[in-house]
Amino acid sequence: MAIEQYEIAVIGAGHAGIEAALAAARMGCRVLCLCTCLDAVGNMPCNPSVGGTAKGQLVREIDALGGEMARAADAACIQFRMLNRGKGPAVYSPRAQVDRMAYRAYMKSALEHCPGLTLMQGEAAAVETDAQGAVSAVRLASGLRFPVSAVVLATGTYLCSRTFAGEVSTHAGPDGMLPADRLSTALAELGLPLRRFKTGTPARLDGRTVDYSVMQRQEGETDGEGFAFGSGTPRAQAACYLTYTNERTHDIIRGALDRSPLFSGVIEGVGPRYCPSIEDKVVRFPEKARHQLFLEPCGLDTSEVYLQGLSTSLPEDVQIEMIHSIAGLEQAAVMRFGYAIEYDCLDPLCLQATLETKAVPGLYAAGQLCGSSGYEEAAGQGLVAGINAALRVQGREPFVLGRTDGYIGTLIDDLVTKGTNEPYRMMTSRSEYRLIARQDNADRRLMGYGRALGLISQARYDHMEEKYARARAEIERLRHTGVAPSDTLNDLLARRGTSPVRDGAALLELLRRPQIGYNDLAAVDPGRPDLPREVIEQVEIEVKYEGYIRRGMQEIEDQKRLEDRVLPDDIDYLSLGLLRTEARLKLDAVRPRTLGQAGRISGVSPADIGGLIVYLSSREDK
Amino acid sequence: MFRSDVIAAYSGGRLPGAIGIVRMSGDGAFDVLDRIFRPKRGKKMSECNFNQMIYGELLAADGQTLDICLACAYKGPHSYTGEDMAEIFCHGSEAIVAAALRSAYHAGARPAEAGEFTKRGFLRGKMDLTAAEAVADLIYARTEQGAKNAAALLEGYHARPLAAMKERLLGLIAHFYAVCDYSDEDIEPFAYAQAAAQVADDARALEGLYEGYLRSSALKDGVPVAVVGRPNVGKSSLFNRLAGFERAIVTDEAGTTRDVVGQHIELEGRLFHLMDTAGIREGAGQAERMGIDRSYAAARDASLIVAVFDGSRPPSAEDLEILRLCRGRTAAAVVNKCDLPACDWAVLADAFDTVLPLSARTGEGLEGLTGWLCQNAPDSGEILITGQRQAALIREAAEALRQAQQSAELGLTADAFLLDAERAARLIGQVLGEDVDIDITEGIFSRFCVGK
Repeated sequence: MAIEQYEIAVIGAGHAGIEAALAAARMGCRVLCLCTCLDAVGNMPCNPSVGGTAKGQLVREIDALGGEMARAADAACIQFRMLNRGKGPAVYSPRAQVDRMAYRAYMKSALEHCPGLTLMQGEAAAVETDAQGAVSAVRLASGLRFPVSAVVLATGTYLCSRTFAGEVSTHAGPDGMLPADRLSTALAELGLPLRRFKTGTPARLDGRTVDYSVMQRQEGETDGEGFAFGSGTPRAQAACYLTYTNERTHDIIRGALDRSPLFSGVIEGVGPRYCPSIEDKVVRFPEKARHQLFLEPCGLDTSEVYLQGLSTSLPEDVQIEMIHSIAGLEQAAVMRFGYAIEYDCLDPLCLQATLETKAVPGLYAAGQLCGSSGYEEAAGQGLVAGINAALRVQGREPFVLGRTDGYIGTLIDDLVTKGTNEPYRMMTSRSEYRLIARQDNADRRLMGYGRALGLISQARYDHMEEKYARARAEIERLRHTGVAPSDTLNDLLARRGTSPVRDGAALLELLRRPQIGYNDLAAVDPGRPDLPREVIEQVEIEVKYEGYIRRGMQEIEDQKRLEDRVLPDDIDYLSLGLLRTEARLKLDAVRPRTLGQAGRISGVSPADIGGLIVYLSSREDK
Repeated sequence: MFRSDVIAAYSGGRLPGAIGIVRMSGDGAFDVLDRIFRPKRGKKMSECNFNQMIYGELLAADGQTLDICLACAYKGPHSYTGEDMAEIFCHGSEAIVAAALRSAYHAGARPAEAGEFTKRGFLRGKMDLTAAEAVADLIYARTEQGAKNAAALLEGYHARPLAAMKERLLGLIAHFYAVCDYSDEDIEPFAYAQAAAQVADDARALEGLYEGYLRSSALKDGVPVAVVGRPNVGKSSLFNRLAGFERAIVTDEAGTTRDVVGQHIELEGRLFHLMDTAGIREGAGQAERMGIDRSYAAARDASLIVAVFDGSRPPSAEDLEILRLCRGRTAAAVVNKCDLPACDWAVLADAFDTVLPLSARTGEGLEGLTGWLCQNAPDSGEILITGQRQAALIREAAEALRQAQQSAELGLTADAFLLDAERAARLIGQVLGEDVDIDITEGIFSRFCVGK
């Protein structure tokens, strides 16, 4: 076969690479997706799950923008739950246990069947640039060369990766895959700032050797929605189990700390504070007598079980001893041992909000390479990078999601504006607009963008519009439908622990009461239409949280004014005498896209922003 | 930074004065103006000419007329701030200005941050950085003393409890999100009921601060001192002596003073608001009786009472009424006319810790009284909130916490409860001048006073 003319090369077919390649191809570009091993497409080298707190929001947003992760997770789902139920809609987060192999198979098939996309096994070794310094080609380790005008780097944890278990260190990627060293060197030569991060994973056990009878069983939900818009109820056939470490486990760990590469100083990379290894937890929280462990099935056709909470880089003999000290795991057989992995990644301050590198036009980066952690964070970035690579190739305006758009926008803004000193994980506390940017309304927030980009079909969009039109109509109906006081009504109110009505009330007013659900009112609302669950959900949230939502929208409006002030690309910050030196240096390093972004850079004060505005208005006058 | 919601503040000079200026600016400033100012000609303010003084009624939050005065609207960008802006030129009474601001806040404005009007003008390119800085310097120089006072108060007495409250709130918020964001970790569950109780305590504490501000904003307005006594004992003479000039009319005729006459005086760097009152007696005419009612009210509201007695005459039934009035209060008895032959006033020792012989006419013994006033002025540490802006922020924070408490009582989910707790923490941070939020002014703008 002749070497085809590709427009875009995506390097890597993990969670970021997949979304980048699919989005660019679906937008009409000819895309080459390279992966060092085609059996590892869409691999989950860490936990066999998708979603979770703040991550579930990311998956919903990916779906609303036309990404694939939600559908793959629904297809491979073996348990589904909505986390933080009872804590409020701002923090509801969907999470699924998935069958790893089924997920990989789904994703590989999605790539194979995507028109305009070529999936190829091969190790990218270098990105070539033209005389202007823009991307011109990608070259493989084999010497093959493909001219392209954009490249999306989605190399995950593979660059110069090294794994550690006790004294044993291996030059390898995750799950024993080959590392990619050549590309790391090539990126450094392009002037990109590389740094070393670290993460880790726990052991996998043979589930047949686990005594589940002493553990707490955790079932999935049977009435959930799934991740993808309109997906219906996901399958839920598997259970997870909860057990705990104990003092003996901790003694074993403490006794082996001198053999831990984390504590002996062998690992130099910076690890995430929020996802610590068990040895970290034991050292940092000596007063805690036990730590929680979840046993999560890796799939339906395998007995491998993931041991969530026991991430470690201790030697394998210590891992066995430690696992056998835990209730229910006394006889457990280890199938894969835990390890820590250290890898090269970029300082994300070298990126624009489009995820294009500032140094090399046409070169985009996404996922763990950008300093993030997690499949969902990677996929969200991959989607945005792929979209922007396609827009660039097509000569269209770039696509930027802001913080007010939701979690993907917040994730990227945090990375490219503030940078990160540890692998960055999404959290609900990172979004200041969490009651507005909820998992349940990602469709309304983002599908319009997805449609404009050509990633969401008109039919899907219309379906979404209809959902909200029905919710609005129902709210109006509730507003204008009164209900007379009756025994039925007041019995209901009393049962729910809320005060009775004497003179009758609008249904809307009754629904405002936190104790009263929409379905509770069916008995006193004979005229109600038959509404699907997702419409009822919108009605309930809109009514109960109306005041909060209104205030949140006002804050978003305020923020938009700042975000609407786009900063020209050619400002020479270093020469701006109006600003303090620190601000000049920081602004020059980050090169923010908008005034709002400039204001979030640490070291840039409001007075500096004032100076910047003065400079801008004097520029506009000329 | 770039907010353009409507802000309002007092922008004039020290009150009381001839004219008070209430300024407002932002998107919707004219809506606020329409709600609080009604032109006599019947048109709405927003329909009148811009940049033109309009005569009309200033309305309180309840719609009652506060004042008949002038107002002027400026259409952005041709205004000081570059936004829609308005100024109301009312009579320079503290009560009118405070009520006008309350009315503006009620109509949707929020209290302006320090220097926010100038900042907005600056951000909209109405002046360059040097000009902005010059304005800052000017204002700063004039109010340096006040700023120092405010800073000292902030550092000292109430900053610590407020900072501790903010930390507690942030702790609550962090705990909730730790539980949400680390659902795999074995974190102690978020105790909603306990959090709601804490928030209620904090709300109460903030309300106490705000009430303290309302009761005696002594640093700004002076410690209220009521000079009381029966007629013709020399209250007005003493008052004038303390004021340093003939502020009150003095005659030999009983009942000359019919209304409360106020005067600010400074003693050893402390501000006092001295109030001369009508002499308290039985059998007065209607006008005088109204004056006497006001004397009682002034005595009730004052922090300190100076009870004046005529030492040259024996105690009367009316004098004993004054004794009753002062029981349980911080009060000094002044036995006036000590230059004349004295009668027996031993009866005062039962009711007053401090009995000061004094001659208002000659000034003899006056330093004993001024010393007593300074000693008994409420300690500045007790005066918590010095500015209307801080007071308004405190009130807003208290309201946010009450709203949070209400959410908890209604049984609303914790996420909503915490949004208000977070808002309260942000507002307290603003009172403390901490940079909780990038939007909070710092740098040159922090040197501006409110309203400029």
